[in-house]
Amino acid sequence: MTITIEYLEDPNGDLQVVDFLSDLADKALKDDDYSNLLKRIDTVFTILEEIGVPEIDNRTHFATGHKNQTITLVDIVKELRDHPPLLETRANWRGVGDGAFRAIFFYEKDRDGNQTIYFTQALLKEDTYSPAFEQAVQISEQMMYDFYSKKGGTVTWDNA
Amino acid sequence: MGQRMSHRDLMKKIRSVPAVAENRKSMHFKLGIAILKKRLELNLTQEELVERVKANGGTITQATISKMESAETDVKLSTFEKVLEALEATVEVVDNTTSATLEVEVTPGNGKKESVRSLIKSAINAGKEVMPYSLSSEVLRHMFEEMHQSSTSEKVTSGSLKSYKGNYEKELKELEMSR
Repeated sequence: MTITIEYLEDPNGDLQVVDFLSDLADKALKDDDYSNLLKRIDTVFTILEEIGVPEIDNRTHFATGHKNQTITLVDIVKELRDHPPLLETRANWRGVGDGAFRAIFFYEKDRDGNQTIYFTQALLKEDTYSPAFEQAVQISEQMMYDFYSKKGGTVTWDNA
Repeated sequence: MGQRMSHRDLMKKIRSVPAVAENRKSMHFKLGIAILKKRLELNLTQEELVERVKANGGTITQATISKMESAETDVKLSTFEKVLEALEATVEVVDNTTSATLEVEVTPGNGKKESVRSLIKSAINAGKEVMPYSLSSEVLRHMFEEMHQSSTSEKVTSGSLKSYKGNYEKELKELEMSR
């Protein structure tokens, strides 16, 4: 099984996710909280590189807060409710703002189980309800439809 | 227009950040990812793995398995041991002389009981603090360095760790007294 990770151009022609993560890496060189967040982001990307998007039954994960407090339920990969087949990948470190890194993506899987993951947008979510996140979801949906439109296909999914 | 880095180049940049590079060398990171892969390879859910640990007489929660698989650092070596046993897996510490990095893989196989003892002795003799069943990544790295210098390859198994448990504290005390 091979896993390929790609980043799609946003409507401005930018690879927003690449720019965002690259900026985080720059900040992590000077700030311990950013480096702690980046460690967790790296773990999530390593898992995606190594095993791809887990099957739906295997997507639940937990983590510990920055004060080693009670475990918080986190999914490294989670379906975006009302926006299938978009998913988000997650990494948390509360030392950076509200500490919720989110990267939106969709993926394809062929008959042999090979996956291609397409990242669209990434951000640090500030609140449970975040207008910036909602906007990123809208942009991601458009990017996904444009992607399949150019490819000449249609968007279908089973369980996201 | 932003940067046009490929995924590979982006990860290279992220993984060159010292804290990230350090984390990737840690026991928790390598074991955590390896255990996750092994569990999925066996097609087990976290709940099923919990049941396997319990069937072996151990106790563990799903939350701990999740923390382990997320490479969180507050999981004890003894907890890894329980999970490795439930997965019927061993941890192989490979002396990689070309890249000088610690390689930890979960693979079926047989290990050597003596190798754990010799690694821990090396760490203690070098002045490292070794707490019972909370071997830090620093200690493990030191162990690897020792192995690297002697160009040997050692295997650490969950079984060998378990059998070592009985003599562990006694031996630590003896070694401390003899220093």
